[in-house]
Amino acid sequence: MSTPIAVHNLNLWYHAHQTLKDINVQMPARNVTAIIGPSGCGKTTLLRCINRMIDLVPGVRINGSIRIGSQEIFRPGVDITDVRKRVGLIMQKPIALPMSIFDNVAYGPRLYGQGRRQLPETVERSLRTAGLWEEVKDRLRDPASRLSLGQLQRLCLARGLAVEPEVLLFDEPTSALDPISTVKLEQEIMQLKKTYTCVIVTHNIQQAMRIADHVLFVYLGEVVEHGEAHQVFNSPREEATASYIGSGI
Amino acid sequence: MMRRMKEVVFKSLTIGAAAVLVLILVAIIGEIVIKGLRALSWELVMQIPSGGFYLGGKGGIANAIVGSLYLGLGATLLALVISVPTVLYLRVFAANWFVGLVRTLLDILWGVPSIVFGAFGFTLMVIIGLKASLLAGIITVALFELPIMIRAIDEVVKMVPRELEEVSYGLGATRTETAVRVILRQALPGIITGMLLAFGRGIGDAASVLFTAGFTDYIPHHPLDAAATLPLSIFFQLATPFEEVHRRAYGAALVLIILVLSTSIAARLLGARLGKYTVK
Repeated sequence: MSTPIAVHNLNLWYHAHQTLKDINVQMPARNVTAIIGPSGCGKTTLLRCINRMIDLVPGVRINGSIRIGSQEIFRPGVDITDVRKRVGLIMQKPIALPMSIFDNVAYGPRLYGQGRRQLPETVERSLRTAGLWEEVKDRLRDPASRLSLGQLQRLCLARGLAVEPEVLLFDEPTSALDPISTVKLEQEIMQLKKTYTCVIVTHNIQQAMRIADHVLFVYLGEVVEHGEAHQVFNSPREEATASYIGSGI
Repeated sequence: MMRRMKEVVFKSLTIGAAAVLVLILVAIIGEIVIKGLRALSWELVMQIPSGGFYLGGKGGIANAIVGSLYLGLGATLLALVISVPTVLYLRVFAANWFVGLVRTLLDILWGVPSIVFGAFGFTLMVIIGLKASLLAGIITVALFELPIMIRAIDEVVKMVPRELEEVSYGLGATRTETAVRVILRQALPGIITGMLLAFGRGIGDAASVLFTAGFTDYIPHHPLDAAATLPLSIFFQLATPFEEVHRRAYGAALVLIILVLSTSIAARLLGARLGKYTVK
């Protein structure tokens, strides 16, 4: 699978307020692209455009285009559920669905009609990829809400992986986690980027330095700087980028 | 000093209010249990009234017990079939202004006395040509239970976190799939409670079945048979001038309370089991 993301002239208004201005970026396949920037600058909004979760927010108006692989996701007639199947989202706060660990992971595959026989295999594979299998294999029938936050976040990852997406979006996935769980999840992401296009929104500049190949610095709804991670971090072209990165260290 | 006084006074007032409530409850239940136990017997529970029952003759209230159970269960199931889709519609599909309108209307309906539902049910029966029967009673009591059940379930479904929905949409689920597989599951214990609340109100209501269910000394075998109910049975017995019949009315009241109480306990146990997977 090789699915790059191309954002072209993307503008977004929330009621009368323009939240995203003329976004033009490429997010390459099999890479981690980190979106950094101060709170409220539109990072999460941009991320949520990529799987059209933004549609759930009333009062949002969008023009421009986002292509995922060869599919233009804002074209009329596009099946939103299909976009969301291709683009998994791991949210800031890990949330269990009100069911067992097994059923959480099987939730997506069941929606797409995967048969009863295949499910255990899909669940095991997804949990293994998310690095959670060994910890839960003996209690798959337990309520998912009994897991620790770090485990729960990896369960959310497994749940997202189970529908076989091409792109994985992470919205500040470690901000609720302790340092050990954070390291674990970062390691998972480093593995996942071999297969998936990963995009991560993070407040943590060190985290971006540790895992990102590409960096997007967003400020007040605009992409201020965009490039290879080592370039953005070591020799930022823009003043604003330098001072934001400087303040974060 | 003043603040301490306020604390003491306020605390005493709250304790007093709670104590009054508990006292009233204990008094009501105590009276029914004490008087009811004296009248309670196998004959009362297992037999239908024989000739002269309301004059102090032999027999029991099996007709009313069975009638009430049929009526309460039937009405509650019917109301549930309408309530759950309504609530899910309000949560996942309806526009905000419409949700507000429906909630206001339901709150008004909640306050409508059951005798009005009884009269409405009677009018409905005349229009569709149904005579006083178990079925007519079930329909009327279901109408009476609807606002109670919908609002109770609505309150629980409102509490289901938005993030849960987002998780489901994020995996590509449609609104219908999200409503049925996630919201309903999370709200299940609350739905049971709402059902139970409505069942308790429905089985104990006399006015809504007064013109609609009819009254008979026999156990109904068909939805179109007339059916006796415990509240009306209690009413007819208390309306007689005979001491012996009055005592049996308390027996009937005790049976009614036991029915409601045991359903309540059963539902709570069931709710706890079904709530195992609920996300806190």
